[in-house]
Amino acid sequence: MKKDRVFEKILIFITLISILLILCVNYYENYESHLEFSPSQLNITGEQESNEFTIFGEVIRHQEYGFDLLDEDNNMIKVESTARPEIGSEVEVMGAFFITNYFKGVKVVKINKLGYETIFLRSIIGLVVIVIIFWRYWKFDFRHLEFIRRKEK
Amino acid sequence: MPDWITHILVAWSICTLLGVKFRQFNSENTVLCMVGALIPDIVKISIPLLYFDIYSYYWLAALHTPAGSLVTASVLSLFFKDKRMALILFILGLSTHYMLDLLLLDMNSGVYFFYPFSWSLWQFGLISNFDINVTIASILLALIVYVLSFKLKKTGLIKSNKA
Repeated sequence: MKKDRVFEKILIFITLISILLILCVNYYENYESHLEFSPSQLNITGEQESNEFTIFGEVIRHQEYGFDLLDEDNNMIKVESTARPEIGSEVEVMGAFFITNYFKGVKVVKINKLGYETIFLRSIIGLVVIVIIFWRYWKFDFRHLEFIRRKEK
Repeated sequence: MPDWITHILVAWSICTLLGVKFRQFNSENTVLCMVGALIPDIVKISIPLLYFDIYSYYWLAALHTPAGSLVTASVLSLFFKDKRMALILFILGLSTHYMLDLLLLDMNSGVYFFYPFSWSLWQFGLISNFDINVTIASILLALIVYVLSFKLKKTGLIKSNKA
């Protein structure tokens, strides 16, 4: 590879990485003020006990304040919410704890238990598959610092 | 996000269908498109980092926006001989990723589609983040596309450009 081409490549690389850094820093510094439910919104009244914003579990019964939820560690949590998910369904609730086992939910999404439990496994399988397929068709040329086809035309 | 199996199968199906018409969608290029479909989820590297008490999600979250993914794809394409083709295929792949993510209903309330110009969230809320039926549907779609392309090649209607 000619020297000027290497220099051009390095220059483009540094420029792109700089843009990426600017995007990341800007996101980090501003995302909180643009969240649909920011931590300040969740801290509605009283003292917030924890900053845990999402809980998972099974709806076991409806109550006046919302519903009771059995979480993954078999703890019963009272969820204050206007949502009425079916009894027995698995839900994800966004909100915050105010007193022990009393959760103020602001958003409730029904989830598929099997889907939830296997999403990481499915993603890891996907990653392994793509790595194997990629190396089947491409290899890295250390001399030119680039990927080349295993079967050049 | 739908799982990575779904993302890569949808990208593969689209490339295989495009391969009926365009010879550029050979096996090597299809793989690049599949890799492109996972580029926005580079942000998920923050999950294993949690085990080391490194909370990096919001530092990296810009990578899961079209602008961030586009720049990441551009960086990756620098490491290929045919940079332009690699970039086009990565862009096609990450387009399929956002197409699927737009269908979701999750706690994040969507994708900052026009970040850094706008912080509006975009999501159609049609499928659950953890819905395994989406994976099953993508496997079925890939099987149908595979059988269809196989039959088309067998009948000689299209040339086999797969290695």
